[in-house]
Amino acid sequence: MYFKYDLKAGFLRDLPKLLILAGIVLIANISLFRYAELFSLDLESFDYILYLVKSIPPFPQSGEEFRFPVAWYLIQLYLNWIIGRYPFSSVCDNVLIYGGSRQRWYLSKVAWIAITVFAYYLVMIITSLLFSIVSGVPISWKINLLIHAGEISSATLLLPIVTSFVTGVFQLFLEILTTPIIGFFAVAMLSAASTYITSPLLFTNCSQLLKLSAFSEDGIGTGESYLTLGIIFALSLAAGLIIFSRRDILRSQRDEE
Amino acid sequence: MILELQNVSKEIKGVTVLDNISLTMQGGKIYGFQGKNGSGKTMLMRLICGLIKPSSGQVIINGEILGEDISFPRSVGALIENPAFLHEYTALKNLRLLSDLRDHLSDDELKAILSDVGLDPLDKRKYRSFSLGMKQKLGIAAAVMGEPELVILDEPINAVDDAGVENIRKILSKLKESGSLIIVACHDREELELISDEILKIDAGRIVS
Amino acid sequence: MKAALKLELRRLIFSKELYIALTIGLALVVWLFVYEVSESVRFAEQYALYGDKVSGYLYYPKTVFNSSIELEYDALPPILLYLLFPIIAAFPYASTYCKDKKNGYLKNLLVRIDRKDCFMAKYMVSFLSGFFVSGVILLSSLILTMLVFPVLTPEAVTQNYYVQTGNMWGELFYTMPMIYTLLYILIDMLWCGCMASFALLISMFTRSAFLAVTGSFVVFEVLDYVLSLFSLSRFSPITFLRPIQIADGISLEIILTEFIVFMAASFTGFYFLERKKDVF
Repeated sequence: MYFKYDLKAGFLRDLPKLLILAGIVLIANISLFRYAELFSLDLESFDYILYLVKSIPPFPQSGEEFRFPVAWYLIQLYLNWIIGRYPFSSVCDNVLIYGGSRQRWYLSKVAWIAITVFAYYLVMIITSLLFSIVSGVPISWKINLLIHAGEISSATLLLPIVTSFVTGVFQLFLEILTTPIIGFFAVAMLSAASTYITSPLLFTNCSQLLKLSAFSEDGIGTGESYLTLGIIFALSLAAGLIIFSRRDILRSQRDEE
Repeated sequence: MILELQNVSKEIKGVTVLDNISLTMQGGKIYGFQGKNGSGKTMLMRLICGLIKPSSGQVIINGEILGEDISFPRSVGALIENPAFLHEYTALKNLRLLSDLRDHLSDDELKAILSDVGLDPLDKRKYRSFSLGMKQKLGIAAAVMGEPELVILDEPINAVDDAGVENIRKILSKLKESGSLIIVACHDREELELISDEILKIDAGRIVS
Repeated sequence: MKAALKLELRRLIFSKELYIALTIGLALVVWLFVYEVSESVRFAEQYALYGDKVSGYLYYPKTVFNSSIELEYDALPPILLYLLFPIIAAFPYASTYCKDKKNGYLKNLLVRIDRKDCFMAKYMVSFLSGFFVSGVILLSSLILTMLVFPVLTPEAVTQNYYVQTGNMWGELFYTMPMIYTLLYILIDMLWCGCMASFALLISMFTRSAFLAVTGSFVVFEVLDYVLSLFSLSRFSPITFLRPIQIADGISLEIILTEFIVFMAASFTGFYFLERKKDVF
């Protein structure tokens, strides 16, 4: 029951925000297109999608100077920004008591995060594909932009989406524990730190393709990534459920949204 | 509907806001809570709704322990402190969203409730442009829609005009006849005497009479 | 005006947000300090054992001018601090206007204080909050580093410093580094004040404290990204605020012109336009 409410009051209201994402993706696509022209690279549509989540290779093992992956960071940050606002604003007397269960309220927010993340990546993919069609880039699932260091499976390529979902659930837990601003700040910090330090413990590493063993020799393995994400998801979910079940709702947060 | 509070106490940050309250209330009656500001009325209402948990004691609703057997009362409508709705939606759309959570009322039923509290069901204005009185009326409409077994209203006549107060009295009377247990907190003793079957005075977190 | 300013300053000083922002910033400072000290000790021990073979080049001790959070270039805390400055600057005060609008406190203020004074005081205190928080963080790092590391004049030949002589004030860095550092800290403080004021501009369009505080951060991030795509990073505040000057072509003209543009936008929006709006 809560989920239908969350879809209408949260997801549908936030849909226009995805237009800004489409704009960011479009700018990134144009930039890659110009780069490919300049260096005569034969890129295909899938490269334009992967470019958005490639980030940088493990640092400092790469031996290169640290260059902050602005595109990857901004895309993750914007998603966390969208996720950061709605759940807290629906900590609302009527919504809670009409739905009848704190646990269901919390699980519905987790489902809402899943839908939001899915829609977010869908917008990224659709925008890149449309750009490819309009600009004459061949449509294919071939990877030309990134050099393989290991075997690439669908599980590897799905890691950015899964990581974004787990990060969202982790952010929800922090938000319930503290405030939406602090939750967002902590996740922004975690994402920034993960560009610098390559470790599965900073699990946002798993959404950076070049930090994975499939694309970098010193990268994190796909299995290791899923294991870490699974643990973080389970802990965040359990801790969030326990905290929210015991929490006193001293006032509606609707006006705090 | 039988609501029992057994030795309920609540402490928040070391301050006792409810102190060893034991009460039994039953359906088909209106209970008025009277007390000065900060006496604990609102906290008691939040506690009965399941929004806050007792530090000790139990709230039992129809034999089910709140917070253990159920998170919230199974059939409850509440207006506690300020009404809170989605700012960019109309009154009807706000009610529809809430109704989809539990009661699944039809549009006609929702429009009838809005008319009952004195709001225009076809009003296209968004909630954000409502006056204080209109917000309060919408809060009451949300609390009573679907005729819940337990209705909790905290200062329901705040900012409501005379005609609105009359409407609220009629709605409460109808709900009472249908067997609902109604709890109303109000600082206005006269108003409470007019609508309540029983008045309970609360002071410093204790029921004093 | 004095009364309004006093009231808003008091709200800032007694807000827990101010202390949270300071704690986060100072935690980064301490983190870097511990890292720098441990790295220096480790290097000194290695050098004592193996001499020049350790690094392949002449040993030159770490100094204040490559160990403080402003001037260290390959550690995580300065990256985090400068990236998150827009949110750290806005956190202590920028949400108060939204909260005042929402809970009706603004009406309380406006019936007691002249509108102009009220909005001017809010704008000034917002600027001051960013200015003050960044100042405390950056100066703490400098002072803390000075307690342990020598204040040696940097030698470009050692390649231990990221600032190039061709950069803005590059020669000043290699002749009077403390003046360079203090001047850059002043720029950072002014810009953090500006970022906090910009958050106030965002709060004109929303009643959400979350959007007000985080909105300016997202705006500056988007700006940084778009400019970086067109190789114009020198125009991005997030980039040019780092005293090590991570992009080429940064100049005082760019920094000041953008400062004036952002300040003018936030001041015009908040003081002239928002002040004239009806308050419900």
